[in-house]
Amino acid sequence: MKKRFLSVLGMAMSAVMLFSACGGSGTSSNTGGSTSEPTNKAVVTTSGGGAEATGTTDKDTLVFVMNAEPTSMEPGATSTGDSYPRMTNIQIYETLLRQKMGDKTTLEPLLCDSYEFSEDGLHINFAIKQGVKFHNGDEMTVDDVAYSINKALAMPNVQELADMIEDAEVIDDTHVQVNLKYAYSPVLNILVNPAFSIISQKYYEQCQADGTNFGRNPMGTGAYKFVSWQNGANIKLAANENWHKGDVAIKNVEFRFMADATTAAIALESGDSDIFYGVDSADLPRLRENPDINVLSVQSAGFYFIALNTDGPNEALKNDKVRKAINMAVNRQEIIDGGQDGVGWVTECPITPGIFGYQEDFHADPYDVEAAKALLAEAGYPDGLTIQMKTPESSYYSRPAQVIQEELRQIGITVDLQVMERGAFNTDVGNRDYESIYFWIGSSFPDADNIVYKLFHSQFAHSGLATNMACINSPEADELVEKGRQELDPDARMEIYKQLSELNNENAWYIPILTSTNTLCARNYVNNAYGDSAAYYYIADWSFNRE
Amino acid sequence: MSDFNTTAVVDAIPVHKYKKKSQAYVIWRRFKRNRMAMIGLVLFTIMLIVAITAPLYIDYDKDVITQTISMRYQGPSLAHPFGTDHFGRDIMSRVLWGARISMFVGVGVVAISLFIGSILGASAGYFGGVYDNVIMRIMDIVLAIPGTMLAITIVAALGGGIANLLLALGIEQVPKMTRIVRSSVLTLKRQDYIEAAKACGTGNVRIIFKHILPNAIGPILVQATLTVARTIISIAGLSFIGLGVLPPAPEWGAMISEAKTQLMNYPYLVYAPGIAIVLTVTSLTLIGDGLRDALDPKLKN
Repeated sequence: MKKRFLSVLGMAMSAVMLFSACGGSGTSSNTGGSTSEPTNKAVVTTSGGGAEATGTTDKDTLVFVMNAEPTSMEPGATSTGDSYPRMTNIQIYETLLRQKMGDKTTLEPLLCDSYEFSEDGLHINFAIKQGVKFHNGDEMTVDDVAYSINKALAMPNVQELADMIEDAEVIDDTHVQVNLKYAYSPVLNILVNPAFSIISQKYYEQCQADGTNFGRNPMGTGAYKFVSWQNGANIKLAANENWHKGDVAIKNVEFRFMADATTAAIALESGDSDIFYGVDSADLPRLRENPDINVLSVQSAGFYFIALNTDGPNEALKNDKVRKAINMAVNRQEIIDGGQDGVGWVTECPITPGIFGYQEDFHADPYDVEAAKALLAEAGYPDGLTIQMKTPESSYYSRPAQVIQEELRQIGITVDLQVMERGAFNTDVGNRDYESIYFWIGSSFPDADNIVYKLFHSQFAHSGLATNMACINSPEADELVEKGRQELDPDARMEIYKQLSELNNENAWYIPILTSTNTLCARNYVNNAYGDSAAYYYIADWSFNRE
Repeated sequence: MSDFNTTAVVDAIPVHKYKKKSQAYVIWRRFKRNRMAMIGLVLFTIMLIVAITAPLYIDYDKDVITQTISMRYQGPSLAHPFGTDHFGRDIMSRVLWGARISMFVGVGVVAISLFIGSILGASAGYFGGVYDNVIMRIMDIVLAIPGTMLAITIVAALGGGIANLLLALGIEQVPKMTRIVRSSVLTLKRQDYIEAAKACGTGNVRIIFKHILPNAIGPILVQATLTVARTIISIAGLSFIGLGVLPPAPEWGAMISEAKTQLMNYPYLVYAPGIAIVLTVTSLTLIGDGLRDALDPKLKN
C-alpha cells in the first residue's frame, strides 16, 4: 500500500515537472523566434531575455500582447467598435485623419493635407496628400481614396456607424469630396475609424481575382508593413522604410495573443513582453507597484449596463414599475467594488463619461431597497418574481452580474443568471432570445450619438443589427435621437441628451451601471506609450528608451 | 400458476437470507482489514455527515450567498476559518454547502446511470441475440465520444444547472454501467440455479431482478463508488469552465475558477475547495479499491 502511494506521488511530481519544462521551452522558443526574424539581422539582443529591461540600446522588436486575435484585418470587415483589429489595423493602414497623440478630441490630417466643409455641412472636400506610397511601392491616388471609402460604406458592419455618409467622389487629381445625407457634426470622427482605412484598389481587386484573402494579407500606407500571421500565436509587422512621415523608432512589432489575462500579466512582469492590453482588474494593484511597468489607465469608451427586454418572453419586464424597481435596487458602487475590484466609475446616464453628451449632473433614481420593494408590490409582485439574465463568460461580465443577482435578491427578484460562451451569447442577443442581459456598449468616437442611436432607435429593435437591446419602440425616444443626430448646436444637443437620459430613467429600459478602464501596461523603457479609451495606439508614436 | 411460483420463492427465502448475511459479514471483515480503505470510509462518512447536516448550522440565504462587499478578501480568522471570497462570503460555509451539491450530483448521476444501465445491461445480457447486439452497438457509439466532450456538448446545448448536469454526466456513464452489468449477467445466466428458476416457470423479469442482479452486485458496487468519485471531478471541471452549477450556488470547481484571477494575491481562496475535492475523491477511490479487493472471490482465504 505504501509503495503504491509513493508511486502515485512520484507520478504527480513528474507531471508537475513536465508542465514546468513545457513552460520553459515555450518561452525560450518564442524569444528565439523573434531574433531569427530576417528583418532584424543587425541585432542579437532579445534572446538574452527581455528581463534586463533597461539595457535596451539595441532592442528593436516591440512585443505587444493582447487577449484576443482579430478575426480579419480587412477594413470594415469586423465590428467597428472591436478594438482588436483596430490595434493591428491602424499600424498597417491609415485614414484621412487621425487622433492627435495624447489628445483624442483633436484630429490632425494624416493622408490629407487639409479639408473644408461646404456651407450647408453636406460636403467635405479633402485635399489628398501627394507622394504617399503603398507598401508595394504603388502611389496612392485619389481613386484609391474614393474607392476605399465607398467600399467601406457598402460593408454591413459600417452601417450603424456611418449611415449619414452618402458616398465619396473624386473632384480632381488631388481632391476627394465626401457627401453626407444630412449635416452631422461628428462626421470627421467617423472617418478616423479604421473601417475607413485607405487601401489600394488595384491590390484589392487583384486579391479578389486570384482568391487571396485580403483580410489575412493586408497592405496599406501605414508605418508598418505586414509580415506574417500565425493563427492563435502572433501577427508580425516590420517598419515601412518608405513611410510618408519619415522613419519610425521601433523597427519591428509582434502582436502576441494570450487568452489568459493573468498569464499575460506575468509575461509582462518577467519582461517577455513590452506592452500588454487587456489586464484583469485583479492583477492591476500588483502591476501598479512594479517600478518597471507603467500602467496607463484611462476611462473606457463604453459602459456596462443591464438591458431589460421590453418585448421579450417575460411579461413582468413590460411593466415599467418592475423595471424601475430594478433600477432602484442596484447599488453601483458596490458592483464596482465587488465585481471589478473597485476599478471603475459609476455611470447613471446611458452615455459614456468623458464623451460629448455625457450628463455630469444627471442622477438615476437613487439606491433604495424599501422603495424598490414597494414599487414591486404596487406592480403586482409582492412575493417577488424570477427573471433570467444572460451575460458573456468573461469575468468582466460574470462577476458584476453576480453582485447584481445578489442585489436583486434583496428586493425579492430571483435572477436566473446564465453565464454563456461568447458566440452563443451573441447569437441569443441577435435572436432577441433573452429576458435581460448584462452587457457593454462602446462608442467608436467620442460622441453620444454613436451610442444612443444604437441603443434607443426603434430601427435597431428587431433588425439584424441587434443593438437596441431593450427592444424599445418609443416614438419619443426615436424623435430625440434623430434630433440629436441632426442638430449642430452643441448646447442644444446637450439638452437633447439630457432629455433622453431622463426618458431612459423614467422608463428604466437600460440600467447603466459602470464605466471601466481601458488599460495599457507598458514596460517603462517604451517612451510615449499612452492610454486611450478606444485603443487607438499608434505605435509609430512610440520609441525605446536608449539610455 | 402464479400461486405455485410464490410458494417456491417463499420457501427459498430463509436459506437465502442466512447465506446473504454471512457473506456480507465476510466481505465487511475483509474490507475492515484494509487500512487505506477504512481511512477512505471514515473520511467519506464525515463528508457525508457534513453534507447532510449542513442546513442545521448554515443558513443558505444568509451565510452562503449573501454578499458583504465591505468584507472582501478577509484572510483566515476565527470568524472565517478559511477567509472570505471576492464577494465577502464566508468560504467555509460555501465549502461545506458545496459538499451537498457535489454529493447530490455524484450520487444522482450514479443512480441515473445505474437505473438505465441495469435495465439495458441485464436485459441485453439475459436475452442476447439481435436485441443484445443492437443495445451494445448503441452503447459503443456513445462510448466512442469522449466523456467530457459529450458532457460539454449536452450542457452547452441545454444550458447549465444541476438538472442538466445530472443528465449530461448520467448519459456519459450509462454505457460503462451497461457493459459491467451485462458482463456479470452473462456469467450468471448459465448457472444451475437460474436454470432451476426457469424450470419452475419463473418470469424473465423476476429472474433478472430477483436472482441475477443481487448476485452481480459486487462489480456494480465497485463501479458505482468509483463513478461517484469521477463524477465529482467532472462537475468541478465543468463548473471550472463555467458550464456546471449556476452562480451563486457554491460548487467547488466554480469556487476555484472564480478565485483563479486572484491566485497571485489571495492564494488562500483556492485552498479549501481544492482540499475538499481531493479529500472526497481520494476517499471514494480508496473505498472503491477496498471494495474491489474485498469482493474478489479469488482473495478468499
